[in-house]
This record gives sequence, structure tokens and C-alpha cells, in this order.
Amino acid sequence: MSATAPENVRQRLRPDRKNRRAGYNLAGLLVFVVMAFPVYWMVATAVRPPREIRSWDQTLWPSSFSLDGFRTAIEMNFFWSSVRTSLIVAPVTVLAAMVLALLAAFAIGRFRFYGRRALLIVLVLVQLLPPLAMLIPLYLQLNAMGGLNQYWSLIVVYTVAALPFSVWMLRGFIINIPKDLEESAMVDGCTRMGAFWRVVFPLIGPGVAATSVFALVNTWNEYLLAYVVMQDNERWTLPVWMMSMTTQRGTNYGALMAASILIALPVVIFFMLVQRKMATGLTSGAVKG
Amino acid sequence: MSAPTTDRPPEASPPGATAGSAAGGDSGVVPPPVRQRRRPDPGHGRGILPYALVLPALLAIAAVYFYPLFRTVVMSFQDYRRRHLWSGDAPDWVGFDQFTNIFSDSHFWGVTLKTVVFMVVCVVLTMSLGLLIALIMQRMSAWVRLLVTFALITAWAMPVIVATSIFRWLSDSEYGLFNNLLSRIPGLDFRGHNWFLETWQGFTVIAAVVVWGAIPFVAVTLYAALTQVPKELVEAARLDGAGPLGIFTNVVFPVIKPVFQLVATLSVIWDFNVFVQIFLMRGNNVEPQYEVLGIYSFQLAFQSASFSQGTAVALVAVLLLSGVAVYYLRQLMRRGEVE
Amino acid sequence: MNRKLIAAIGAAALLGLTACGSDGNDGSTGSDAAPEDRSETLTVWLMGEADSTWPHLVEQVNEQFAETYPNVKVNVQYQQWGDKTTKLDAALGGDQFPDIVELGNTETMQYILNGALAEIDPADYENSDTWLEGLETACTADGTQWCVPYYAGSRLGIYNAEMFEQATGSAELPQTEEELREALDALAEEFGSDDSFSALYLPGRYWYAAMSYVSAYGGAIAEFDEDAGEWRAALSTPEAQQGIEHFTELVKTYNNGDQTKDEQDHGQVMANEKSALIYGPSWEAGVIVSEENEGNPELDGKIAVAPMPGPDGQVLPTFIGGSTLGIIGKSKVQDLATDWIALFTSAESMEVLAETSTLPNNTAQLELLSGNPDMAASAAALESSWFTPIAPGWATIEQQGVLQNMLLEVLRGTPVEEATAEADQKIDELINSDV
Repeated sequence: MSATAPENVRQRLRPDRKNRRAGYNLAGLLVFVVMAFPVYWMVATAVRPPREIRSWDQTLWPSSFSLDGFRTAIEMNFFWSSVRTSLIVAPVTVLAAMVLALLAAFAIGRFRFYGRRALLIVLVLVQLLPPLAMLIPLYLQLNAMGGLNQYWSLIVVYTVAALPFSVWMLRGFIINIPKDLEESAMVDGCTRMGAFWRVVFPLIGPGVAATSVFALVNTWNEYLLAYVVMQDNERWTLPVWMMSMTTQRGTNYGALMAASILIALPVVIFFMLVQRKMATGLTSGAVKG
Repeated sequence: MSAPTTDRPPEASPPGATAGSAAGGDSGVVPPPVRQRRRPDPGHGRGILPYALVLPALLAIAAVYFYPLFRTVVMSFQDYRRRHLWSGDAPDWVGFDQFTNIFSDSHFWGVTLKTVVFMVVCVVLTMSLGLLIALIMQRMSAWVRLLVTFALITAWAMPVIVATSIFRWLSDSEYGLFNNLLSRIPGLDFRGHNWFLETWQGFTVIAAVVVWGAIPFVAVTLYAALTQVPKELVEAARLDGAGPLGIFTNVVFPVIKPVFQLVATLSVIWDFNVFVQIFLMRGNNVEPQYEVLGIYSFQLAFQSASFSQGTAVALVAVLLLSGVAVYYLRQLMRRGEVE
Repeated sequence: MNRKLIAAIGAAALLGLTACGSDGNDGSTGSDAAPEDRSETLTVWLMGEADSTWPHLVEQVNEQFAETYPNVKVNVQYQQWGDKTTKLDAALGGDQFPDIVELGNTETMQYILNGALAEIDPADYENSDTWLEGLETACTADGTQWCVPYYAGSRLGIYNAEMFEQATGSAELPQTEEELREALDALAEEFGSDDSFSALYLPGRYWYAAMSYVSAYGGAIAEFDEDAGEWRAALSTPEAQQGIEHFTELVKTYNNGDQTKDEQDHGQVMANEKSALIYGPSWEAGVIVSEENEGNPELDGKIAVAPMPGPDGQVLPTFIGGSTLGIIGKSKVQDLATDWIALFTSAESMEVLAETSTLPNNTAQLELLSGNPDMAASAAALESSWFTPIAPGWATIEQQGVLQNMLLEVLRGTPVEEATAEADQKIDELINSDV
């Protein structure tokens, strides 16, 4: 995170603290290396000469660099149409899931109403449903509703798939916000919902950010449903397009890795945009007590 | 419909505050009563409001899942084959046959055991490593945190199929980097070592992909939850002489507990249903020794003649999983849901 | 199984009939209308190779088709091997499904037995009297033809001619196994300083290769017992055991790499010059030297193909791989589908395919190819061939890796008798049941 957490500023850098900080930094670097290594390998594979990808003498560093993989990938059939489909489906899904989930999470986190427990249970149980076993019935349903080859069918299914998690997650953040805050806002003349939007919403920024990243990653990378429901090649999403690089006559792994970098990029950018939210969190003055 | 439990306490806030928009304008007149109310009542809204708020989400879920779930359940009591799907002919009803077949099959129990063990190992590793990373992220210098965040998010954004391919290459017996590096350690010779001959070794590689792939989500989410921990409380506890462990269990964990439980439950569900990683790691042709419930169900449904067996296995898996769900909900109810 | 099969085919035929019966409902677009008045859409599902390797053929056929049917829209959609059957299974349950579908020859029977395909008349297609047997059988159930052979693939020796020349003085692959072994010994001598070099790289779980040796000795995976009306596993026969022993002996003698792998990476072994000879599909020679498929362009011109010498001075029998084209029984434009497939599998089209190192679907053209140096070897390899049992449970046996596990057991030291008996038991359990 780019922003420095408030506690850091306050800490006096006495020698033991300094040492401890160095220790944490070292651990952090270790985490960085382990987590980033496969990512590095993906990038290295995309730019190294294809021969080295599965060479018997693996080298950490490519012997030469080339962007051919990227060019091959972009020039492949159906790339741009897949970009379009993914760019239509994913943002709408994330937005819809966040709005619906926020409303429901607010209700569950702030109101006591009849059926609330049942609702909570249903949300957990929905998470358990086996997507693969339900693939055929789901397909038949979308077929009956005229949803084959339609953007909306992916949007609706992905949104619903993201909902249970998002509701639970946001509820977890909402119940940590002291109710006093809303109440003082309401005393100041806000409506119930007004207080929510003005007071609670900004405070659960980290939660919304984390949840939306989750929803985006899942939506963006989904393969099987998209492949089955979007019958036309022109309606492929990016992961389906990427899989088309694997044929019986071998796989162009350089281009495949380049493609997956291209696919991962928007998610990383989105995260970078929302991460500041996640770092700031609650300001110290806004906390209960 | 029965009324929501709005039961507004008698000493509730003055009309101007509760009546919502109508009285909104002249709120300045009312003195802030916040401090007087020690436990504000949660059921504060108008009767219909909470229902209106949850309705869209609920409708969407029902619209998408109700029919497929219904069909899946029905299918598991039939012998539903491809020809029924394609022709629309009614399949035979077989009662509980699919289930009795499954339960009397020793392979199924072996697969179930494997699935549970694999899930437990992966969840414990994912949650403990994820929490650890989230905690040290709070304490490290900003630039290191930036690096770690970047690594986490790029790892998270990496498509599973690509990550799995890469782990597959790295663990290959002949050109894999793992064997190459391990063999450099004096006394070890891993050249030509095939990691997938021994089931447990193969599962170790698979678990590595799964855990590596799940850590970003867990760490980032828990880190976000940690930002909600009031710094004053931590500071106060420290001044009271509490050690790091005491601060964590008494101050920090209670705050992140809801999120932690949620993430843990999700990890349980995902790792229990693990599919793609194993499927790709075994080159789209999973040997029986690497079958877990997700794979087993898929192969029964799509690589045999009858969809029904696959759906029955999937439903049994759901029932097993709901054990975890019930535990989770119990925990939640015990806490009174009001935190 | 016979009764079941017949019942299934009866249902399939009925389906085909209903589909035909509903034809012509929509006035001028029916099959009675003049070709130029037809205005339906013909949906064709081909595998990705058609897009990546022979898109010009698809284009050419569509143009020819448009000459007869100027107003019919041909909608070609490319599919992916990984999840194609899942997608097809779902699509056939809905309202939007292809009219023509490409199927791998080993997966075709599944669709025939479940009534997805319409009956075809071989007379509608060029060279149908000389269709390759392996593909034709894949399309035949109960004496009826349910799909059209599309293209074939054979396996043969792919070797590094330069290495052979350096070690043996000849750049040709020896024609008998005896001579081949001498050459392999010379190769092992010459390049043995690299301890991961394998003169012949046969991975231990390469069951297509192992079964070729079984077939060479006259054995088979399973045989159909006419009297009992069911399939019986046959790996425990002396012929089959001889073949398996022959194969594992070659693996143990010449493979210095990981003997427990399957064939997925063997092209990579060649590209890295860790082997002088592998046994694989003809097009793989091209992949080994192709820059973009991780091949080694430096080997360009040095990789050659030749029929693999087998036991007893014979050519090693090859597994016939390939694809078929089926017409979906529910399709309302079966006549258009027939015409399109006829164009797509015409002699002219097969010539275009041959240019991409793909074998045509018939022996008449195969013979012509023996004059073509690039294709002669793969054509010759088809001299004797084998195919997997066309049994209802075969897909499950393949998926459970029964043969691979058996080979692995033998390599680990289990006696062949024991390993094959165990495999036979497993095969007998699965082969006759379509669940």
C-alpha cells in the first residue's frame, strides 16, 4: 500500500523497534519473492525465446527478449471481440453485485427483521451449490430464457455467484462501524439511507474495495460457463479466447503467457485504483468509544 | 406478512430524528442525544425497509439458482442420460439407487477421505499463512508493503490455468526448475524425479498451487479487516502491559473474526470443491489416485453415460459441506449476531 | 450390449425420422425450395485446428457452397478440445445447436449410441468406397453409417537424421527393428556423454505405442465375443503380453530420461536434442522445428519421418487417430449439412488437407500421396493399423488410465502376467457397461 498506516508514524524508532521493523521487512521480502516468483515466471516465459520455455537447461533470466508473443496473441482471431465481451460483462457484474450486496448487507447488519436468520443461512447454503453439477440445468434455463449468446446471461449468473460472498463480507465490515455514527448523522437530519450513504459507506471503503476485487477476479477469469453459454466465437470472453491457443497440435506458450498478462493487467489496474481505500480504512477519530 | 421486529424503545430519539426525510430540515433544533443511548437498538428502520433492501439480492439469487437446483435434485433420483437431455424423453425414476450405489462404492469413500484431508491441509495452510502475511503487512515499511501488495495482487489476477501450467513445468521431472534447484543441495538428487508417482507428493504440488493461489485473497481481505481494528484499543492494551499474543487474541481477533470466519468458510468450500488445478495438473486426464469429489463428480457426469451419478455425488458433497456451514452458523448465532 | 445398442440405434433412427418429418414446415425455406431460394443458417462446429492450420480450406468450401446456396448463411464456430463435449452435450439439450459437428474418432460412438447423430448415406460423399477403415468403423454402428470420416493421423518414427548420420553413417531410419537396435546402440555410444540422452525416447506410459507392439504380435486390448455378445479383455493373451514386454524392454533399454512419463513432452525431448528418435503423429515433426511452438528452428531440415520398424521385420502397426463429421439428428437443414460435408470432404478438399501434413480420409488418395516425399511415410505407416475397441465402456477405461497404470506396474517390476491379469479384470468390469 502506498499510504503509511497511522501507527507507523507514531512509532518511535528505538533500536529494538528498528530491529523488529527490519525483521518484518525481511519476512515481507520473503513473501514477495515466493508470491511473485510464478508471476515472474509467467512474464519471463512470455518474453523469452520459445525454445527456452521447456528447455532442459532452465535459466532464471531469459537469454533474449522479444514481444513476439504479445503480437501473436493480439493478432489472433477473436481477440478484440473477446476484449469487448469481457469489458461489457465484468464491470456491469461488479457494479450490480456491489449495489445489491451493499443494500442487503446493510439490512442484515443494521436491522432486526423477521427471516433474517433464514436469510443468513440461505446465503451460506447458496455458496455450497455445486456449479459443475448444475451446469446443464443452468444452461437449459438460460436457453429457455433466450440467454444463449447474450451478455446479460453471463452478467446475471456472475452477479448472483458473487452475491452471497459479497453480502457476508460487507456485513462483516458494516457491523464493525459504531451505530452511534449513523445516529448522530440522523440527528443531524439525515434519513436512514442518507446516513448510510454519507457515514457508513465511506467507512467501509476497505470492505467494498476488497469485495469488488474478489468479484472482479472471479468474473474476469471464469471459463466454463462462458464457453458453454457463448456459442459464437465472437462472443467469447478473454479466458475462453486464451484457451483457444491450446490445440492438439501443441500450444504456443509464449503467446499464451502474453495473453494471460494482458488478461491480468486490467485486474491489477483496478486493484491499484481501489487499494488506497483499503489502506486508509478507519481514521482513528471515527472509532467507537 | 408479520411485522419486522422494529420494537422502538420508548426513550427513542425525538421525532425529528426517526421520522426520516419529513422532519429532516429542522434537525438543528434537536440536541444530540447520542451519548444518552448506551445500546442503540438495531431495529431502527421503517417496517418495510429491510425487506426492500434484501429483496433485489434475494430475487436475483432465486431466479438464477432455484430451477437448476431443483433440476439437479430431481436428476439425482433418475437415470438421466444424454439421450434424455437431447430428445426430451422422460428418464426412468430410480429412487435412491444412485445414492445407494455411491455409498456402497469403496472408491467413493476413499475419494471423500482424500478430499477432506486435502481440504483441511490446504485451509489450515492458507488461513495461517494469509493471516500471518496480513499481520506483518501492518508492521513493515511502506515500500516493502507496496512490494508485497503488488506481488499479492498480480498473483491473484493470474488466471488459474496459467498458474497451474507454470507449476506443472516447475515440477516436471525432466526440465523442471524444482528438481534442478533441489539437486543442487548437497546430498539430494532429484534429477528425473517424477512428483506424480507417489500420490502424496503429487498432492503436495497441487496443494502448493492451491494455497499459493488462495493466499492473496485471504491476506488482502484480512488486511482490509485489520484496518478496522481501533488503534486506541491496541495502544491501551499495550499500556496495560498486554503482550503481542494477548493483544491479538483480546483486541485484534474479535474485530476481524467475522471476516476471518467468512474467509475460512469460503476456503473450506473452495478447497473442498477443488477441480481446475488437479484437472490441468494431470493433463486433463486425472488418474483415479488423484480423484477428489469435484473431479469424481465431473467425470461421472460428463465422461460417463449418465448425468445422474455425477449430480448425486455432487449433492452428497453438498450435504457433507453443509456440516461445516451449520458449524459456522452456530458460531454466529452464539455470538448473537449483533457484534 | 447388443440389445442395448440396437435399442439405442432404434431411438436414434426415430429421432432422425422426426427431424426429417419436421422439415419443410417453414414454407419456402424447406428442402423442396430451389437452392437459390434457401435462406437458412447452417451452423458448423469445427475444432480449432481448422482455424489455425487450414482456415483457407474452410473459406474455399464456403465459397463453393455459396455457389449453390447463395442465400444460406454458413456459420462456422471453432471449438476447443478441452471442454467441447461438455458444450456439445449442453447445446444438444437446448434450441441452439450445430447442424454439423466435428468429433474425435474415439468420442464419436458416445454420440451415436445416444442418438445425437443422423444417419448418413455414404453415396453422397466422394471416395466413400475407400474410406479409411479405422475412421469408417468409428462411424459405424449396427451396419449403419452415422458420420463421415474427416481426416486421419498415423504415428511413425520421427528422427534426427543428422544424429543418425553421425553415429551410423546413414541418414535413413533403418527398416527393420534389428538394424534399428544396432543404430540405437551406435547412437547411445556416440551421444552417451550426456547422461539424459535417449537414443530412442519412449516414455513408459505411452499406451498408444505399447498397444502398437501388442497389435504387432497379433494381440488386442479386447475382443468382441460374438457368442456371448459382449467384449472381453485380451491383454492376458500370450500375444499381448509379448507386445507389452517388447515395449517395456525398449523403454528400459533406450530411455535415459524419466521412464514414468506419458508422451506429452516427447516433442520437447527431440527439440532439446535429448533424443534421436521418438514415435509420434506425423505433424509433430513440424512442431519440433517450429519456433513458436517452443520448437528448435536449428533442427529445421534435420528432422525426418519414416514408418517405425516393428517386430519381425514388419512396420509397426499404428493407431489411427482422426476426426469425423456428424450431422445432428435434430437439425432442420440436414440436406444442406450433407452438401456442405460433401464439399468439405471432397477429393479436392482432401488435397488441401494433405498440404498441411494431414492424412486424407480415404485410401485412394492415400496411395497417390506415396509419391509425395513429405507424406509418403505417414501414408505408408497406415499399412497396418489398429483402433481402440468400439465398446460402450471404452471411454471410461481410457479415462481411468487402466493401460497406463498397467505399463507403470510392469516398469516398476511387476511380472507382466500379474499386471495384465489385473488390467484385464478392470477392463472386463468396465468395457460392457455404458455407465
